[in-house]
Amino acid sequence: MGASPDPLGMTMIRERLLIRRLQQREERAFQEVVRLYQHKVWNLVFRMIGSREEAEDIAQEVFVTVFKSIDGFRGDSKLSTWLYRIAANHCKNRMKYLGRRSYKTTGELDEAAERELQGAQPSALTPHLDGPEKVLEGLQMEKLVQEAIALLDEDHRVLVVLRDVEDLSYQEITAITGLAEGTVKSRLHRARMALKDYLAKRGG
Amino acid sequence: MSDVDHAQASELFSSYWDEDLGPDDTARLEEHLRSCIVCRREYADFEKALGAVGGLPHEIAPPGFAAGVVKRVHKRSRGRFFATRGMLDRVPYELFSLVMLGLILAIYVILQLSQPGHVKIP
Ligand SMILES: [Zn+2]
Repeated sequence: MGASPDPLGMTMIRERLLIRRLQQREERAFQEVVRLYQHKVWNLVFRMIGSREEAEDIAQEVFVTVFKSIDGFRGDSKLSTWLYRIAANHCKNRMKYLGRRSYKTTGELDEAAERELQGAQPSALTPHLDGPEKVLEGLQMEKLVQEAIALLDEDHRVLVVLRDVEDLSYQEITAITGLAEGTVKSRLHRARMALKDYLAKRGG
Repeated sequence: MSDVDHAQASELFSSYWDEDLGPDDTARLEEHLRSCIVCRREYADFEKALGAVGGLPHEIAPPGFAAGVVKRVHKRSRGRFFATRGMLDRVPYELFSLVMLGLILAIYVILQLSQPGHVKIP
């Protein structure tokens, strides 16, 4: 989740201390982990699922699992990688449970449109902000993209979200998914081509 | 690549987008894109789609999310998940109550002593 120069390995030391405190069931360490990773977990889960209501429940479950399983965390990957793995697995399980029903992304994005029109920060999909029409255009594109992602099966969707939404490296993705790099790349390519076809048809 | 290699060209789109393609394949693909309008359009759509995916706004957790997680863990573990606080965590509160008790006792004694006609204890 974002690499920055850290020649002394301070991040790793801090992370190990945090993990030790978690294993000692220290509530403040727990709160720190939630504070540090809540937005990253939320974005991953929301983009995977497309519904805020489901996302809130799943994202909370991710942290519950983290604290239930912290004793089993051996530290052979970064804490963030482990968190992403838990989040991805929860999403995939929920998607199976929901039976790949069509998620209610439309209403959610209509709400988002309203918020943005009322002056909230626009998204990167509204690059030339010169009026409400452009904001709506960006939001329609966001809705289309979310729809396109929702059409992918869970194995393809997770790769698109990790790579193209979260901007993770292939190395991180193989660590999260446990898949070989070649498998990640070929699946991701198919997923991207499907997104391209859907958006070219719908988005014009 | 000749015109019959559209499929082969599109197979390289992802690696090209990721800048993960070797120099030879990059040159072959770029040459094909220059000469083939079909693949050029396809790649333009590909770029546009991935640009849109990458441009999705980063959603942040709703307010109260963190508190909700803590509450859920407490509830799920019936309050037993977190370690019992150590003595060091309790000291300030206990010290504070002790000081307060002492203060109240001192005020009480002073008030008692300052009352006229009190009986002096030898
Ligand atoms: Zn071609």
